[in-house]
Amino acid sequence: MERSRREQESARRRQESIPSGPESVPRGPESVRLSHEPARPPQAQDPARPFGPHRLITRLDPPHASPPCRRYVARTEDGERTVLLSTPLPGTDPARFAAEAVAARYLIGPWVAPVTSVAGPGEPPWYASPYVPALPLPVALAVHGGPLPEATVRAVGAALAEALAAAHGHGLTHAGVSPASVLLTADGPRLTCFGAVRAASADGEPRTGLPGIDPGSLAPEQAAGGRPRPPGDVFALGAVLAYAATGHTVPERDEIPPALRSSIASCLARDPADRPTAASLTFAPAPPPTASSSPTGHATTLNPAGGLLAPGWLPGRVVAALARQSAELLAAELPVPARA
Amino acid sequence: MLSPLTHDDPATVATYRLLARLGSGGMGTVYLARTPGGRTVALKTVHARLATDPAFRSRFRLETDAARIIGARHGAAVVDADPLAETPWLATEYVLGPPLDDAVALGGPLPEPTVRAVGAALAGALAQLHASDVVHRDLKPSNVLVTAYGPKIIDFGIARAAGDDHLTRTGAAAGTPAFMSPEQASGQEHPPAGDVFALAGVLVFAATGHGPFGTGSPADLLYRVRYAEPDLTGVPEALLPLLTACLAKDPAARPTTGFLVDHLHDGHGEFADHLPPLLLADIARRATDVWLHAPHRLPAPAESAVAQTAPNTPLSRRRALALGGGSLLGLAGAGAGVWAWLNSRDSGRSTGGTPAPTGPTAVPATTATDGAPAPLWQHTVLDREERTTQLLAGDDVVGFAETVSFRAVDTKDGSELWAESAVMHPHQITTDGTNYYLSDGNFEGPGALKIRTLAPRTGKEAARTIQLKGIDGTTTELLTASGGLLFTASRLGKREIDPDADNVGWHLLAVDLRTGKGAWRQPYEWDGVRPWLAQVVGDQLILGKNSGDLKTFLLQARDTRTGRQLWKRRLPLVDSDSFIPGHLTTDDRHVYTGGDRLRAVRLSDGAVAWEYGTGTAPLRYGIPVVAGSLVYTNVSGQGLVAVETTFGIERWKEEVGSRPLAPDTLSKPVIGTKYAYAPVRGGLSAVDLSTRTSAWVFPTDASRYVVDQERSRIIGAGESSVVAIPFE
Repeated sequence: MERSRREQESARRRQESIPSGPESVPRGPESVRLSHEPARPPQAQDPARPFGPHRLITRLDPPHASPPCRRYVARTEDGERTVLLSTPLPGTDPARFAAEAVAARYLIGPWVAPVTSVAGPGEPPWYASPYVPALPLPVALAVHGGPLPEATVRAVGAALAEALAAAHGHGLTHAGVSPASVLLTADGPRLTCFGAVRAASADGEPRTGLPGIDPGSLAPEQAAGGRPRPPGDVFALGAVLAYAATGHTVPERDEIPPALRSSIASCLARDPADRPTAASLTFAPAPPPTASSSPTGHATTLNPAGGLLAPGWLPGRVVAALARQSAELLAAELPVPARA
Repeated sequence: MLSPLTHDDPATVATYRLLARLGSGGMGTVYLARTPGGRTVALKTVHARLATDPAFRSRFRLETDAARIIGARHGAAVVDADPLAETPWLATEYVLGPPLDDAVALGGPLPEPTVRAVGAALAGALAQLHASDVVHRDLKPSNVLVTAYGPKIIDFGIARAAGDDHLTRTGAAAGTPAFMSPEQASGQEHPPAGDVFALAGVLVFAATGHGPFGTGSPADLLYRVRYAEPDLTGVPEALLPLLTACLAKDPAARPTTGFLVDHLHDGHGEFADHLPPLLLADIARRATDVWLHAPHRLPAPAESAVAQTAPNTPLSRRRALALGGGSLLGLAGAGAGVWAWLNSRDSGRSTGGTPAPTGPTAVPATTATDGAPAPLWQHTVLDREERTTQLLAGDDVVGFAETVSFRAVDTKDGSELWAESAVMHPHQITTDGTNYYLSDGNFEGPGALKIRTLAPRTGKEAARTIQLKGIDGTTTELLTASGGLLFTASRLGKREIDPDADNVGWHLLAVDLRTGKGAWRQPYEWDGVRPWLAQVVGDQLILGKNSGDLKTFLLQARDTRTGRQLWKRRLPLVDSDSFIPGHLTTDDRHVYTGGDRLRAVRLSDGAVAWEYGTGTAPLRYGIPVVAGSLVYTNVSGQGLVAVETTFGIERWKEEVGSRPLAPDTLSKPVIGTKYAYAPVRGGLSAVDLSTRTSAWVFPTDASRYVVDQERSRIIGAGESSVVAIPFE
């Protein structure tokens, strides 16, 4: 069984190849010209209609990625607000997606992209969060040039464990955690794509080969059709951290940095009963930063994960890619409708 | 750094809508602005008085041309410009990176690999400029922005085409003495090799934190640039030969830009690989903060003074009395009343009798020191409960809630302008800086809330009395007022005799001051303690109060337009005497609190951005105050500390002098340009900002202070006196 998951995983990776970054975030400074032109029109398969008051500027994910939901950067037509906008993948049930979008509004906390607006009644479904520069985890690995440093993995692990613990404490199961649903921002990760597994199919049917559902992040009991429960989120968290630390969700044990091995392996236990709870997971390094005047003044006791987000938590090239994305979107301009 | 617009900034320039101020100087102001299509730019405008000068206009046009020549790779991409407009303007990309001097201030001198990477990129930029026959002439750390992809050179205020000496003839000041070339310093032509000299100066600064010719008066600097050997102390050894050669007095002896590109850096890796963590974090923060900024505008000056003092709304008197019994001297915004109130929790349980390092005592004779200024005026007040709420409103008026009345005093001489005896409790009155707003408290009729608007100088009613039905006016707390809205914490219904009935129906209310009608109301859960600190920042109403069980301090943000809760954050109130409530201290990004640690809570989402202090020692961090990019607070047993606002990094600590001073962590310091005024037991200590030691202590029993910027004076008030001293 372990073997077949590995195969699925590597097949998926072959199919995808490593993305080179969000397609609208080209590399050279020459590409700043983008901003002098109208925003890039949405791709052929993208719906051309506006989403509520929003116009699409660009897709967040690279062309061959398969995130659990389709994500765009969009802007209100008055040019005032830029948002991260999610829509269902083609071929999925819009009604289920809409239901999850409404439930996602109950998810709050610093490590969750807050859902601030959703489609009105009768509209095709979408929901939006305020935009901040963000890279899907696979894109972060691509720009960094491989697995992320241990400190980054720890910070991501601590923050996501905190986010899941909070959700589980409120009786919510995320059911959408996967490498592509985790965004990295300057001040920590953000969980997106709430409820992707529930939206993909009804409980009771085997969930294999569903669009947007990463097989390596799907707990065995959910793959078999079981109702998503908190231990499934913990499994997916283990897969996400394995991915961050090695580049794939089903790593060989000795690929994982030794200090993270037991935490990640325990999350990936096949039996849900053997997995730790999100609240019991710790990723703190051994000695906490001490001196009050140390530059790691970020070590806060209140968001325990925040302590791991001290300057330096993100590698330089990931920061550079965030800055580039930010600059490109600051420069992006919607075509202004002719004044009546 | 993004700062709010001021009241007299225009709403738009050309088609650009202004969002925030980025900076302001002798030539004009730079704004963050947005096109109708949502493109965000840096918009540089020229002062109106300069715009009338034809010579200046042509300089501005040349600067625009130079910015276009350097292009988007080595400079800020030019979006558009209109040098001929009534207010000439230049729109460029908003560059995501700090100026080099800020980068050094943030994390200290840069490591050698960073200096090399920055140097090679700058040399490449100069090579490109020189190839276009443009000489920069004003290369200095503040004109170099460090982005994740390389440095960008900005501000060609004096850039010009080579050979065109027109601008030199106009006599405009050129260059910055500390980074000038010797030929420039002696009034000669500044050739391309002059930029190489300046580049070396910039790199010496980046590597050591000081320029090669130090600091001092322009005349001293010009002399040293021409004749003195550069001070290269601290420059990494491997860089010495190259930088020494660049700093040769003879332009012909300096290396070329091409030589520098080749020899500063071998070109391996990406630029970001060479940046230290703090610099990367600052770049990442800038890339993010620009999206989180909610545009807003500061009120007129008189009001901005109030913005700092208005949140001085006190805690619930009833709660205080209920907790501590009738003997408690209940109310204070941030002073001894709070102290007593918090300590009262301990009265019922054994806490091991930890000695309190703070708290009012008699004025020690030793604190009256030479050098303290004479008071500008001083009067006695009757405020034995120390519940003085200071409200500074327009027209140089400061108001105080005394024990039996509210008094408005002229800041000029301390004379009483008017008094209002209906105000028995500080929470009955607030201000937006234009008027005072007050409720009649215990004199209200049943089920009604009346709000009167008083002109600050005369105390006369300045608007129709607002009457709201179905609200218990006797228990209503006026929180703060801003932007035409007054915020209150009120219970719906009539006053109830049964104390249990008091526990239901609590709401936050916004009252439209223009129409006199309720704008919104939102219920909140009564937990025995009412909100008592409030501050409006942009579109956010920030509220703080202790939780009912006194275990946490609750901070929350609400949308001023709807009352919707945006976030909530609990801060520890571990020991009643180690968390000290007081003013809410905010800037554009954070709200800052003291207690067991100094903390910055993000306004955008309520997350704790940083903490300063270990939280282990018996140290107490006082009520903080923000000035510029630093947050200051008193630390018990130590003194004043200054921490930068972005990452919570300590900038400096007060040098403890020979005199023992006991910092008062319950009073808010006041920051001037010469002194930081730190409340200490028995007085106000002036900490000299250059020596970082206490220069003098002004003896007073005052426990809270406000500043009248216009008159340059600090007004302090305590149990028995109100006093004004010079503010500098």
